Amino acid sequence: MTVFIKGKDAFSFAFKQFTDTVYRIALHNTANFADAQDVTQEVFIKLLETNKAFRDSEHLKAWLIRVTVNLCRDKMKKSSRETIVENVIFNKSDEEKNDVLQAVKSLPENYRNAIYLHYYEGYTAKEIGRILDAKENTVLSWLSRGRDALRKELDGGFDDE
Amino acid sequence: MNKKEYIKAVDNITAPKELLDKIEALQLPPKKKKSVLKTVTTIAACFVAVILAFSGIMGGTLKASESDRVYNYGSSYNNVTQSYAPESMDFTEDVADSVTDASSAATADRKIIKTAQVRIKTRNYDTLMSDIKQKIEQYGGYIEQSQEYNYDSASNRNANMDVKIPADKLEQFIEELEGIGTVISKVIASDDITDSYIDVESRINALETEEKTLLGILEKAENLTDVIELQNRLSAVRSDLESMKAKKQHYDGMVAYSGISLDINEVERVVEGDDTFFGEVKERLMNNLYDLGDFLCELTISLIASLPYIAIVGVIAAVVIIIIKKSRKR
Repeated sequence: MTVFIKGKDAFSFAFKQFTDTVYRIALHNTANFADAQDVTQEVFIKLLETNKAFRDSEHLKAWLIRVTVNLCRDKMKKSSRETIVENVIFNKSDEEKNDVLQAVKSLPENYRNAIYLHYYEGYTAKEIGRILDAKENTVLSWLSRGRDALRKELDGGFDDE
Repeated sequence: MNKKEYIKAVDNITAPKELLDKIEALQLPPKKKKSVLKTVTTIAACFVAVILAFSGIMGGTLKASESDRVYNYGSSYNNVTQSYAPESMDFTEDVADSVTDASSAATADRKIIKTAQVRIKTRNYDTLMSDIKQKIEQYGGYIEQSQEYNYDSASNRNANMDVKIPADKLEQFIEELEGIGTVISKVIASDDITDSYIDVESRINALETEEKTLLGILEKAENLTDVIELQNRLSAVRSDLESMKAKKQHYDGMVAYSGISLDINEVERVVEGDDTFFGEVKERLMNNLYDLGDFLCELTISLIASLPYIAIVGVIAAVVIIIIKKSRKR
């Protein structure tokens, strides 16, 4: 039988388990730390407001990922409308350290999210498709195009294992 | 190789402590906010008192921008009206200037920019959206931008809209919203820009005078270096004038139209309780009944969904029982 989590339980569970995940995705999809933090907060506000019951932690996680990606898109749209797009992505010292991260961030939205979800979170193409609302084959092509782009950008490529 | 580096780099990203604190604080009941607001007002009041006393000693005038906010957190508590202390204050150094400022401000109508944020919950998303769009048209406003999402099932839609409404009709429009949906929070803020507006106007006047004077001198100028210098100055004055005029236009637009940001959430049901004991009991009872209904619904669905398995198990069980019975008979 299915057990649901919702409301405050879902919130505290998500807070313990997925805050970093949300923050990482936000950082992949926004211009700077401040925006990423704003988005992370907004995601949790949305979680508090929603009346949704989640089947299990995976369901909750997928929902959080989807909301985060949407809110980031929203945020980037707004900021590009109001101010000149900030190119400051990382502090200089960080920039050197996070070379690969930088390269991943410079990919188009779908590519970088697919790369993150596959290589870091370990989702399969099928699962990513379900989360980002795309076909499995589309996700596979995002992944391979993302890898191609990274191969050009970085020495030694981005191996697939 | 780079893949490992990537994973390492992502591993290093963790939500900073202050963010965690902020998110954790979201869970606290909104009643806490009341006391925070109280302290803010107390501190603000002290601040105002000190500034007023100080300005009295200085003999200068104080310009203040006001902002009235109405917090209305649905069931948690009723309207709390807060008057905030001015966030920025400036003393006018030139006494004569401030006197004219004060008198002209008293006669001319004040320039006030009003903005509002409204959050609405609804069960009938589609009707609400079309109602809102119709009301906007009716009030002579327009939609600046609007985004709609569907996070999951059909009953969890969400829309963000930035709407402009003629300033004098703002309150009326919000009242209309309360009539067509359940408003869970509204914040109305007003920002008095009279002083900056007058500044811009007088800058425009000064620049126009300067432009005329320069043109007069230019006509009389004889040597080339003078002409060039005068023209440089003139073009600088003109570009300042343009930007000041643009600023004035911008202000005019902001004053004439109030911006409202609407956040519309679709919910399966709207619970309206109040702060009393029975209100609380009612709200929780409703929640539990709803959950129970949800649960029974889900139970029925999973029972029906597993019918094929139940059928197979039933057949196997029947066969086994028949075999056992037959073997016993023997």
